[in-house]
Amino acid sequence: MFENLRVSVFLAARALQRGGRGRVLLNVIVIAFVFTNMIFLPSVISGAVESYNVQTIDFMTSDIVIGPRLDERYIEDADTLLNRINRIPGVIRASARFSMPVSVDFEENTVSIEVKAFDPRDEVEVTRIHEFIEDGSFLGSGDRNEILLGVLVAGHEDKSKDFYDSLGGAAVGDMVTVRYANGVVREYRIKGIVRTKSYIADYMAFVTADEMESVLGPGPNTRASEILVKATDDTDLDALKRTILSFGVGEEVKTWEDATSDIVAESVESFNIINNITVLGSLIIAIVVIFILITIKTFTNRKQIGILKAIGIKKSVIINSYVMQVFFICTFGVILGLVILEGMVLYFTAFPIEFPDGTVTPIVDAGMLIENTILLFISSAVAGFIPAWRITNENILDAMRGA
Amino acid sequence: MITARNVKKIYTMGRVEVPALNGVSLEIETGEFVGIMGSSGSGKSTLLHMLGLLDDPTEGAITIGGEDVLAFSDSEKTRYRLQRFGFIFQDYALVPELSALENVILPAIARGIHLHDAAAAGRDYLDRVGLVERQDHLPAELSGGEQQRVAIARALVNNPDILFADEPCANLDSTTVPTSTARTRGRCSNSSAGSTRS
Repeated sequence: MFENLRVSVFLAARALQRGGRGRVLLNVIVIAFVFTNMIFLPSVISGAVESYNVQTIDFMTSDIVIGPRLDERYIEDADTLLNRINRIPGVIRASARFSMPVSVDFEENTVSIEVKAFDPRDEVEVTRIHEFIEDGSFLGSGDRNEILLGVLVAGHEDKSKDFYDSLGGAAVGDMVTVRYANGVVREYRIKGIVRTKSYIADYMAFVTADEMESVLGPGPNTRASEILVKATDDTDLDALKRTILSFGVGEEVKTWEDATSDIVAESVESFNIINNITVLGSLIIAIVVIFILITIKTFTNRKQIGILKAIGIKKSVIINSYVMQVFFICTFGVILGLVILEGMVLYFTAFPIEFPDGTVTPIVDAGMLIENTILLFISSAVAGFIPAWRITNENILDAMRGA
Repeated sequence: MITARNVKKIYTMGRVEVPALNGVSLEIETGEFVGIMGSSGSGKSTLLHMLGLLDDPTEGAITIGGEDVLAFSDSEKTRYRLQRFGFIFQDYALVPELSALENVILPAIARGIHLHDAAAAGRDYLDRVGLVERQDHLPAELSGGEQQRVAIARALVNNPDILFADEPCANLDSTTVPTSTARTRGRCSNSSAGSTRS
């Protein structure tokens, strides 16, 4: 066993050393790019998913989102619930939001969007919208006649630049007319324009909770469409969710992952299909390259294989020597691929890829690296084994004659 | 002792059958040195290939030391060739990617001899055929005669029981032939069979 391995290593080493270094180098480069291809696109997709998750937490759901009870439209007595949640250990702050469909008019332009109302003092501790004010400023607690518009709502003067219906270049200081779903019409001065790069957040408008109260009119208690909860960094969100429920909260409590699970799961599933196709394509390229390489090599070495068999070298030893050459090429291909990949990740970290829904930095997952490396090695080993096995099964004299 | 009984070999080329051996019988005793002579195409190499387990006869029986070697499996034949035979091929049959020394020691390494010991034995055999100073040269860097001498050293390195030599002196010059032949006869511990053109 050990002797066989030793002979295989000996033959493989000499073949690599003297069998054409240029050809070996070329094959290493091909495998390196195949490996890079296998990892890079999935890493971009992982980056896009991560970017989407961060946007969801920063602008949409915070860490935990509490929705109305089943079959109810609103969370009733939201102030009492807020006070209760704010006392729970691990909670930094909770912010109640009230959403209502509106149409916004500016000059001859009208858009139908959703307005979200919140208490700015709570909101700044729960989301990061206030950090992404492109122009103007964030809402203050006392603001009543002012509105914050998402950049996609404000739009461009040249509306052909806008993907969605927009107000055609509304700017800070302009007055817009907002028609609420309950029939109330208000005039607002645009206080700020928000650009978060999240399609959803950038196609909304925001007013203060006080303003929304006046729009809704007097009611028995404070209402909310949702309550966002920001947790401390070290908090286990599932544990916090259970704690909130144990505090007698009867509303629907979800972590950000629960809240977005359907949308994200669908997206991730689609991305995974693309990933799998990419990996499969790369593997096929690797298999074909290795297969052609070893087929050519074994074919041109037929005589040599015949000689080896004639002097008593076992078939398995000869086959193993070719598989070892493939492993060598794959090992250095993967190492070179990792160097190329690291370079690409560094570059795209410094200059992130601009996606419509935000900037994306590739994220290389160790599990993905290991899995794809193993796949590459197994595929290559099979691709190297088959032609070597075929030639070593030839009649010795036919092989020696090269016939 | 090597025994061949009524060994026939017929090559089939399409619909044409070409007989290469037509019922050859022979016995080679232990320690015997046998030369097989014949004109080109008479089947000398084919007979050596059959006796050396490189090919199967179409018909007939071959026994070595009383064992029916034709009944061996492929892997048993491979092991038998490594452990008991030495081959000197007509066209040297050296591995082009291995140096002269590496070609010589390959069968020894395959038999499990330590690389260091195999290298020492290999150098010794190369020295005997006058090529130790060219041990690091690849076959392509050696002349035909030098390659043949490397092939002789390789055939002898495992101290084989039986040595098969197919026109071993075809590329050797007149000064090298006598010494090589003597060494070949002297080093083979059992029987030797060789072919040469008449």
